Amino acid sequence: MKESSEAIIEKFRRITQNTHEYAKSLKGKGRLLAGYMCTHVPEEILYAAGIIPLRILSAHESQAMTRSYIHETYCSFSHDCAYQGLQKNYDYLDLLVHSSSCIHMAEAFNVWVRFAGFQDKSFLLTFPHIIHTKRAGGIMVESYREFKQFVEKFAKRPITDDDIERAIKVYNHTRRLLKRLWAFLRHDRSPVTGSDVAAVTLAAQVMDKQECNPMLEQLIERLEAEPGKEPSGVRLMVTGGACDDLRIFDLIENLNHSTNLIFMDSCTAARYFWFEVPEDRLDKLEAIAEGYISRIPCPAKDNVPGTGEKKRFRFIQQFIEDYKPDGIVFLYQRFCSPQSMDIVALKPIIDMLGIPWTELELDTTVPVTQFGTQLEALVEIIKRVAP
Amino acid sequence: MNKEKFFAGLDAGHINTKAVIMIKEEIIGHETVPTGFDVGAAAQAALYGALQDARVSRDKLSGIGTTGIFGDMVQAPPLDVIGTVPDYVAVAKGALFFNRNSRTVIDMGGNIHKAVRYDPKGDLLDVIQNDKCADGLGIFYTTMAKAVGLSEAELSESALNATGNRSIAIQCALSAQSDAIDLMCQGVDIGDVADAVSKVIAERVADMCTYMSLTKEIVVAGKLAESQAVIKHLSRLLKEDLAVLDFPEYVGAVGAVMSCGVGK
Repeated sequence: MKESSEAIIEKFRRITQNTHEYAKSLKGKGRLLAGYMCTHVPEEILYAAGIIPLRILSAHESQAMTRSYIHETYCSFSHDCAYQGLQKNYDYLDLLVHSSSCIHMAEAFNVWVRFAGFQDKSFLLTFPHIIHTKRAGGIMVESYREFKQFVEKFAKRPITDDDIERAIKVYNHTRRLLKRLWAFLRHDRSPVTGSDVAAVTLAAQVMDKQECNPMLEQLIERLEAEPGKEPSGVRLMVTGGACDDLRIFDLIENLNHSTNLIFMDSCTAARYFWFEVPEDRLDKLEAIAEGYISRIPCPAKDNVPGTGEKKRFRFIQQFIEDYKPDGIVFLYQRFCSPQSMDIVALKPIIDMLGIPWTELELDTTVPVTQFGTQLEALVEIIKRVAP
Repeated sequence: MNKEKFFAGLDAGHINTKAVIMIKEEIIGHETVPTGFDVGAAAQAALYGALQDARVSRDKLSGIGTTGIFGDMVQAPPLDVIGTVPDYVAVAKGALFFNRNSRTVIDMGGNIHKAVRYDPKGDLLDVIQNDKCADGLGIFYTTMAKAVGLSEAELSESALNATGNRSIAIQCALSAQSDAIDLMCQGVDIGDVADAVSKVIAERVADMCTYMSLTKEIVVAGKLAESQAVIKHLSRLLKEDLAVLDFPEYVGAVGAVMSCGVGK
């Protein structure tokens, strides 16, 4: 008997709830595991060497221990991730990889390296500060070359172009499948909820893609055959920073008013997969660099020299056009300066489009009642202003 | 006669002013009043209350030692202050007075918490104090007790009976308060809210303590030390046995008497 879409989604959800258990099961099968702290890390290179990359996630546990290690006013996500290392929750990892993205996560990485036993099994990739420059691609290729050499030495095997090409294709397949899943949210009567899509997307970040892809294929096949759910309520789009706390997405879809979460622009959601690496190129590392440059940029890297233009805003405008949200929720980590500064520039654009918005600042914990009240107020406003 | 000399110690803190009356090494009276804006008046009131408690008239006092954040401000007449010491000196001397084997005291007050390490004479070896973001833990505790309609003692008792494991924000007391109230709005059990409040305090104090090595025996002073729930979490986080001093709120005031060398 075929599994229902609910059953498949539940499997994905369980993986997000028990990432360590899932990862240890891979380890039990003799796989090498590499944790990564930022989606700028080219997973393809690790995968080409037979290593499973999995994203380090936070545990949403209030603690003060990391205040002694990293700055108080760094985001709670970085504190929480640092804490995971100090608590030895990821001790089963064979390797830890990070790219020089934001300073907050870099400090979390440093905590793991200096105090959590990862000194001899970690790698920090150089990543250009501003990606919209001609030199950025060259810097990335050079950085990937060093990384590839490191991984070859670590895995005690050479990584051939064929290995990388296979990995590129596996990862592109995941990205295409996730895009197909997200496409359900564009329509009224979507057979899947936004919070379920968020859960599946998060699970994909900690899964072996060989296992993830067939599950995604099955899920999409089931959903395509299913009638849609209830007519859409107020359509809400989230844009902001890293958020691996699925409770917030559940909250958005469980207000006193009928609401649908229809898009999540963040590095734990769309920004993770909304790009592809060109296939069948001669220079594989150049192809990977090209792919990663074409991503929806992280606010920490998104600045066109000379003009100050934010390329991410173009994506957001396109998403608004395609997914037609009635309201926007700016959801970002407290103390994430690039993200909160982006919002200052983004609000006038959203205002010009006549879309109401609200702002939710993330901490380790989710103040359900406060956020709920704020979101309901947004929905009330939308209902009043919507045509 | 020397043995009949009475001395007073005044600890003028951010939130409360505490006074003790001592004869030799015996505490015979004590009083706490809110410090408020008029620090001098609070000191007078605390002293008056402590004298009443000790059944000693003011003219019998041989001298007053002061400490606390407002320690310098209570020196004006009519108080006959014979010496003022910084609060970390006073708390070390006071802790040693109560426990001769102690070498570290963690002092959790209304606004500031600190840890002080000292030698067998009570002389300072090291001091660490909270960062600004961790200010106001004592005020937070009092506010939360009021918010849930309990006394501070009842809040601790309730926390000790918690069945769940709830977390609240830890960035600062204001964030924590906001989250704790959110838990109340969600209908979370009062014991779990009280436990989350106690845990946040213990986390912040334990975090501060990681900056300094804590020499045994470790004792705890300050009004927050009266909360068994906070002490339970603090002991768990520090992985150390902690002894709560007698009269934890008055350790500074006693230390003021001791440091002025008038208690002997």
